[in-house]
Amino acid sequence: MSGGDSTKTKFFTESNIKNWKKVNFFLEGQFYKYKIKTQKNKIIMACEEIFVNICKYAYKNTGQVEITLDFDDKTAKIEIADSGIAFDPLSFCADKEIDKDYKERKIGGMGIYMVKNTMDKLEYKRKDSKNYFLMFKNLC
Amino acid sequence: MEISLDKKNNEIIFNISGKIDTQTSPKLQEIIDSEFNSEIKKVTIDLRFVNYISSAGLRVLFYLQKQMVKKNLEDNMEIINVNPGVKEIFDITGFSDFLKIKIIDI
Repeated sequence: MSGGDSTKTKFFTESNIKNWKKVNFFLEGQFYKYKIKTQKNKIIMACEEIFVNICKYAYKNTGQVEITLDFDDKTAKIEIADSGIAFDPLSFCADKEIDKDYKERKIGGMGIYMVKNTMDKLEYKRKDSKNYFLMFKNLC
Repeated sequence: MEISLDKKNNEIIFNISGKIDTQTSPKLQEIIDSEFNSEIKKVTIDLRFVNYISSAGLRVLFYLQKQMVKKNLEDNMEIINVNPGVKEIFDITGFSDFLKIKIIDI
């Protein structure tokens, strides 16, 4: 991308784990389109963890998930929104599990821990009965 | 994701390629369940062609390591040819502390 350009793309899907395949396809396509290679796998991994979390916990059955990708020269900004129960993914982080002996360790919450430790900045907000989770990753 | 298996004596080698994620890890789990039996004394997982792993994939490796612990053979599981991006995930999550990992020769 050339100087100062910013591009925004949205993807909508139902909160079903089976739809990760479609989300992954969308993300791979966008990275390819904008020729972004650095940090690609980390960003896709973070999206997977948050998407799967929404599929498991946000809705009683299923509901909509919106993923917005916003790239500029230096930063990827990813927003993942749902209309499920108020829910901050960061509260599910397995910080305490990581230091335990692995034989005692529980595996839940590790996905969020990975997001927290690979992205540069995270924000959660609840607005108009929706959850918005924002992730920022420096592309340089 | 593609998986091929080599079995020799009491050793099993999983050669995996592609992504180990939410979509593909159930298949890996299924293959482990059908191939991992009481006779197995050594497990090698070759990740040469894997450049992506999410927590769903880590869960499967964790499960396999725990099966080896149950047999008192925890030192006989090895993950080889690990790419830098995957190694970073193992480091972040502390998996590098308890899995035997060999990074890829480039």
